[in-house]
Amino acid sequence: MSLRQPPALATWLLNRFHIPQSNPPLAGDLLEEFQSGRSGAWYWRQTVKAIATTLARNARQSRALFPRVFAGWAVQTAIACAFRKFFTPDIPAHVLVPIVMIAISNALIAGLAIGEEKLTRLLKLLDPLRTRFVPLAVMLGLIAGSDGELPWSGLGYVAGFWLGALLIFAVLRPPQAIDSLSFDGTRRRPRWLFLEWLVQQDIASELWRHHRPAQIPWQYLISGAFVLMATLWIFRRGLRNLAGSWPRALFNRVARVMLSLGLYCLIALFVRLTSTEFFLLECALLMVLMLMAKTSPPFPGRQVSPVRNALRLP
Amino acid sequence: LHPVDLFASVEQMARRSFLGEFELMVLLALIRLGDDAYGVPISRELEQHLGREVALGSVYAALERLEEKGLASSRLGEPTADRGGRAKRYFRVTEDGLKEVRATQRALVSLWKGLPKLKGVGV
Repeated sequence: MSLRQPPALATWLLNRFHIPQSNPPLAGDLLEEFQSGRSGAWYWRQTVKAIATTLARNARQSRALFPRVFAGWAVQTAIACAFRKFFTPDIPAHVLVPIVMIAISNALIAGLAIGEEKLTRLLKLLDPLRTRFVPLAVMLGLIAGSDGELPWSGLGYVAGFWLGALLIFAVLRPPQAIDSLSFDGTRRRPRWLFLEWLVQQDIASELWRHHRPAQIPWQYLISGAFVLMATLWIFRRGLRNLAGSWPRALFNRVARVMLSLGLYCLIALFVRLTSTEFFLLECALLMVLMLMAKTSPPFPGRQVSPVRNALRLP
Repeated sequence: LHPVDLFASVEQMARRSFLGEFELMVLLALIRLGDDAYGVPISRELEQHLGREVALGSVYAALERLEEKGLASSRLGEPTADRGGRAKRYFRVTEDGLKEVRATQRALVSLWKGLPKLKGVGV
């Protein structure tokens, strides 16, 4: 006896929202009921409700993300507003500020990479805000580079992006493969690191779109290749197993720095910085990171607090 | 708590422990069905008594909440072809679940007894 086929589009939707993987008995029940004579319309209604229920459940499970996202966005916006009010009119910001911000954010990344104790402790306190440093640097770079023309649309853009990201991450959640990635070898909140990466990619793609390819200097092409290499490498299937060992952890961190390197060089297109300055700065930082990492003990990784561990938070 | 655990404690505070209306209905359906309770018969049982269509997704969401609260437990059955090779998940009420149902029944009966006659709703 041949089995009836349920509506293909509804089945595709179920698969798209990973319901057969996350709840196989539910998918089986839907099929069983359909085989026992339920209509296609019934299958469609049940599919829509199953998806809505799954999304609502994911949102409930990700409740802790809401205050984090809001806190990060509020701090970003406050700093950016203060920056615009007090500094932009008087200094050649498009030259100075992005470099300072790059130095700060990269120092934080370097602190993580070498496991510097005090910096790591500070980062633990700032943990909910940590992954916003790079987007913050990006945003300030955009504001500074605009010479006062762009800022409010820039803020609106960032606000819109973070609210959209909030919805995406609270409701859909990234696939399991992304969830198990670790960019810095510590297996700490990879979802947020992935979100940071999304921000970088998003802005970088905007920059590329607004640039005339004929004017792209060779440094940017190299950094673009870095971004491509790092991206491909990050999405390699076996990566989730790499975070445990020391050389692989180093490689993770180098890949992350490469991402930053490529991103900042791309931003330089927009903020009219000297490309060589960016390139040399980032290369020097990368070299320092590599040298320091070679002489430091294996990355210890940060301890997950007992409370968080007990609650099984990501 | 360490400041870094602020959000962890917020999440913990938000957890509920009382029984919702739909959860109570699902628990009662589990009791009625006994050992054969899985998604399809549970939803049919609810449909029969509620007089309207019940979403299987909502049933599973309620069952998961009940499991989290320790009021129900589940086991996987054998996969079958008419289910696309997917196994059934059988549910049963735990001892705590039975206690919760009895407590809720007592509370509801008590509330109904003390209720003045409702006007205009035929009660």
